Amino acid sequence: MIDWSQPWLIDDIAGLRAALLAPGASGQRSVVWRMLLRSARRAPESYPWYTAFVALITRDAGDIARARQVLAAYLGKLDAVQFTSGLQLHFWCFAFPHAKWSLMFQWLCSIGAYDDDERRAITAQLVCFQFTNMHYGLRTKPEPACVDNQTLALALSNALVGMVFEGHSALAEPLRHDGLRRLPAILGALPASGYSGEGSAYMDGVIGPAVTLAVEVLNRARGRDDGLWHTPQPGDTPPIAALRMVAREVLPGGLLLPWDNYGYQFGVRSPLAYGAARTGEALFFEALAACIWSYDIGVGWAYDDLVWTVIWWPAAAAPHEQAGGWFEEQVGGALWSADRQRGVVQIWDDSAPGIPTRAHVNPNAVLFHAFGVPLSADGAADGQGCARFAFADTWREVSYLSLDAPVRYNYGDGCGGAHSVVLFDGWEGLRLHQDGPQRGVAGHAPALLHCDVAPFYRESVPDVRRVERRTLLLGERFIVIEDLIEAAHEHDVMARFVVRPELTPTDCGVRIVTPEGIALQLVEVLHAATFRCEAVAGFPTRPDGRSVVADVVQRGRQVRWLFVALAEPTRVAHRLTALQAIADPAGALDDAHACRLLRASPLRLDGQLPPHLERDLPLARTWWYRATLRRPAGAAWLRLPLGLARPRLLLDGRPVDLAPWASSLALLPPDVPLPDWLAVDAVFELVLRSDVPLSHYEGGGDGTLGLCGGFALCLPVANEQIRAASFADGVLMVQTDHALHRWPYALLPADAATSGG
Amino acid sequence: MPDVAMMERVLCDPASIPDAAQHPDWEVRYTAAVAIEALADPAWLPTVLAMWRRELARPDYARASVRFVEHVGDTRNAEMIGPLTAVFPADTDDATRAAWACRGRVRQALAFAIAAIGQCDDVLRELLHDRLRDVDEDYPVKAAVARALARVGAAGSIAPLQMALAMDEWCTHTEAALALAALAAHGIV
Repeated sequence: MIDWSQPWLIDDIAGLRAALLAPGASGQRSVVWRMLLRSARRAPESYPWYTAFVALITRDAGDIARARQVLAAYLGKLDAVQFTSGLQLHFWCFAFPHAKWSLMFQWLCSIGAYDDDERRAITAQLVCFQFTNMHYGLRTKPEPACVDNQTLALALSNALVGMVFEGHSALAEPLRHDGLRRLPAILGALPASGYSGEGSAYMDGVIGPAVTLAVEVLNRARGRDDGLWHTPQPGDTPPIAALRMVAREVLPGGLLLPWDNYGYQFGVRSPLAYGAARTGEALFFEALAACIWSYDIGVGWAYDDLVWTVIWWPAAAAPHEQAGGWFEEQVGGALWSADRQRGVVQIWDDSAPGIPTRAHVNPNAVLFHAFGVPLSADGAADGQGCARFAFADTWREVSYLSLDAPVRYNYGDGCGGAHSVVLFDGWEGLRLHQDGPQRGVAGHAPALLHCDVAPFYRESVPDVRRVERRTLLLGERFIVIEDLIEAAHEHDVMARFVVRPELTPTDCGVRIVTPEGIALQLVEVLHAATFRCEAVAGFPTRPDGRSVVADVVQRGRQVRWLFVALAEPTRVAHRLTALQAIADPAGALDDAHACRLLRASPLRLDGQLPPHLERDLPLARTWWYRATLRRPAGAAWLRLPLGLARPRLLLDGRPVDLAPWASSLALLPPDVPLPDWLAVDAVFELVLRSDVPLSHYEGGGDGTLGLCGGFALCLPVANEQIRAASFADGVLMVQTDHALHRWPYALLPADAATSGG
Repeated sequence: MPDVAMMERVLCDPASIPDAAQHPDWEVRYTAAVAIEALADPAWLPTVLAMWRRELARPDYARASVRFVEHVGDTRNAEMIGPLTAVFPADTDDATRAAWACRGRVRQALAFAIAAIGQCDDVLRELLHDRLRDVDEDYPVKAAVARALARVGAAGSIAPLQMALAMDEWCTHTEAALALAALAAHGIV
C-alpha cells in the first residue's frame, strides 16, 4: 500500500515546493510554474488540469478549494459519460485522464483536502468507474498481441489506479494485478527502436508520457529504481528506447517528424524533461531546448504535460557534447549539421498492411528540414480532401468508428504516392496487403544513412531486386541522395519529392522558397533529369494547405539517380522588442480606438508569450501591439509571432490581408512582406491584434497554442544557389554561384546482370 | 452510484456470487462474472448460462439514442472536466438506460469466465456463436467470445469465427484468428 500522507509518484515534495516557491526563483522552470499558478488561480474551470498540482505545491486554502471544485466537476460528469460513444468505443482515451484524476485526488488527500467520509465516497466512485470501464477496456485488447498506445494507456491506468487504491477497495486488486502484469509486457514488446509505429502524434502524446509514468509506477511496484533501463519480460526493449525516440522526433525548431496522419505539430515536454533528468543525455536537453512554452497539449488525453515537466525538470545543466544525428535499424535515421541548422531524415519504418491509418506508407522517404523550418510536405489532406491524392483504389467505408452512419473516406494521403519515395509503373496508391519483410539491409556511417526497401515493393513488383536509397550530408550543408533501383524486367520508375511551396524559377533542378524564406534547391546529377512539377491543393492541411510534387521518371531494369539538395536562408531577422501593448477585454475595439490607446500605453511587451502568462496581467482574450520602425529600401518582411489567432495587422493604419497565412499560423511564424506603398526610409506604424487562448481546450483537441516567438524585421540576405552539378571519375562536383564544391564519391555498386537496362 | 459495497464483497466472497448474479445493478452482475472467471470452476456454468440469458433479455443497446448538452466529440470529451448532460428520449425507462450504459460488459465478462473455466455445453456454445453472428453486437463482446471459443470451440464454431475473422476491426479479427489456430491445433477444422 502506498503512503497517503505523501503525494504519490513525486520523489521529493519538500524539495519541489522549496524550488518552486523560492522568492526570486528564475529559469524556464520558474516561468512555467508561474504560468501554471496564474492559470489555475485566475481561471480554474479553464485550466482544470493545473489546479490539483498548484494546490499541492502551495497548500493555499483558495488553491485547495479550486482543486476540490474541479475534481467535483469531473466526478459529476462520469454518469453522463457512460452514454457517450467516446467511452463506449474509445475507452482508452478516458483511461489516462481517469487515472490522472485518481492520482491527483491522492495528492489532494496528502495535504488534507478531504475528510475521511469524503475520501471514502470519492474512492468508491473513482475505483468503480475504473473497474467497469477501463478494466473492461484493457481486457478487450488481445493479450499479448496488442501492443500500441491504447493498450499501454489502459494497462498503465489500471496499474496506477490499482496501486493508488490498494487496500482501500477490493475493486483495486484486479486493476493492480492485471495492470502490473500487462504493463511490463507491453513496454518490453515495443520494437527495439522504441518506436511503436504509430507516428509522432501517438509516440509523443501517449507513448512517451505513458512510459515515464509506467517506469515510475513499476519502480515503486518492484522496489527498485532502474526501470528506465530494465528489460521487461517478455520482450527485450527497455523503456529508455521509447523515450529516446520521442526526443528524436523533435525537429530543430520544435516541430515533430510528420510521418503520420497528423503531419507537423508541436510536441510534449514532460518526457523530454524526464529523460534529461534521469539520463543526462544531450538528446533530451537539445529537444527540450527546442520546445515552445505557450503550447498546451493533452498527454494521454490529459492536459498536464506542463505539470509533469515542472515536476521532472532536470536539475543538472545540459552536457557539453552534441547529440548529432541518429540511426535506428528498424526505423530510419537523421543527419544534422553540427549547428542543427540543416538536416535530412530518411525513414524506412514498417507500414501496416491493408489500410494505412496513423503510420503512413513511406519506404525510404526523405524529409528536408533547415533553419528550424520544414521543407518537405507530409501529413494528411485537409477537411475538403485532396483530389490529387484521392486515388481510385484507396476509398474505404467503415461502420465501427461511429454509433451513427458509416464513414466513407479516401486514404490515399497515407499511401506511397503522397510521400517522397520511389514509385513503380505509376501506382500512386502504393501500400502493402500482406505481412512480410519490408526492408533489406539498413546501415549508417558518419553523415550517411542507407537502406534497401526492395522487400516492401516485391509484393506489387515481384521482379524487383533492389530499391536502395543512400543519403549523405556533405560539408555540413549539401544533402546527397542516391537511388539505385534494379529489377529483372523494365519498369517505369519515378522518384517523387513532395515539398512545400513556393516553386520558384531556377536554371538548375527545382527550387522552392517557403513562406518563411528558406530555400531548397534539388538537382539531379547523373542525367540532369528534368523534374516534372505539379502544384497540389489540399495536402497537407498544415502548414500550407498545399504542396509541390517534383517527380523524375526513367524506364529501365536498372535506374540510378544522384540528387544534390541545398537549403539556404534568404532572409535575416532583426528582433523587435518592447512593443506598446493594450488589453482589449471585450475584443471589440475598432482600429482607430485601439491605435489611440496603444500610442498612450506605457505597457511594453515582447510577444514571447500570451501577456497574462508573460507578466502579471489581467486575463484578456484580445491584445493589441504597436511599434514604429523605419521602412528599409528593397524587399523586407515583418515576422509576426507564432500562434496568432483572429489576427489583424495594420501598417500605417491600413489593414494587411493575413489570409495567406491562415493555415500556417499554428506552426510557423508568418513573414509578411512590407508593401510597396510604404515609402522607403519613412517611419511607419505597425499595429497587430491577436487573440490568445484562455483555456487548455481551445485547440480543438490538437493542442492549444498561444502567441510566442516575438516580432522581427526580416531583410534579404545573399544565399548560395547551385548552377551545375556533375559526377565523373569518382568525384562529385557542385558548382554554385559562390564556389566549386568537390567531394570524392563512390556510387552504390550495381548488379552487373541488370546494368545497361 | 451502483452498490459498490456489494461489488467489493463479491470479489472477496464467492458465496455472494449467486445474489450478485441477479443483482439489479449491472455493475454488480459484471463483478460477479469477473469473480466467476477468477474461480474458473465448472460448477459455476449454470450460473453463467442464467446470466447470459438475463443479459440477452435486457433492452437492446445496439441502437442507443442519447443526445448530450456540452458534448464536444468522442475523444475530446475525455479531456474535458465537465459539465456533461445526457438527454434521453422521453420514453426511456431505467432498464433501457442501464442497458445503454452497460452495453456488452457483462457479456464480455461471461465470455472470459467461460474461457477461464475451459468448458461449456452446446447450449452455451451456441449462445457464443450467436454473438459472433449478430452484426449489431459490440466488438468487445465479439473479441471476448472469440477468445472463449479458442478454449471451448467445436466444429460448429468454425463458421462464426470465420465471420469474425472477416470483420474490419482489429481486436475481433485478431482473437478470431487466434481461436481458429487454436482449434486447428486440436484437430478441429
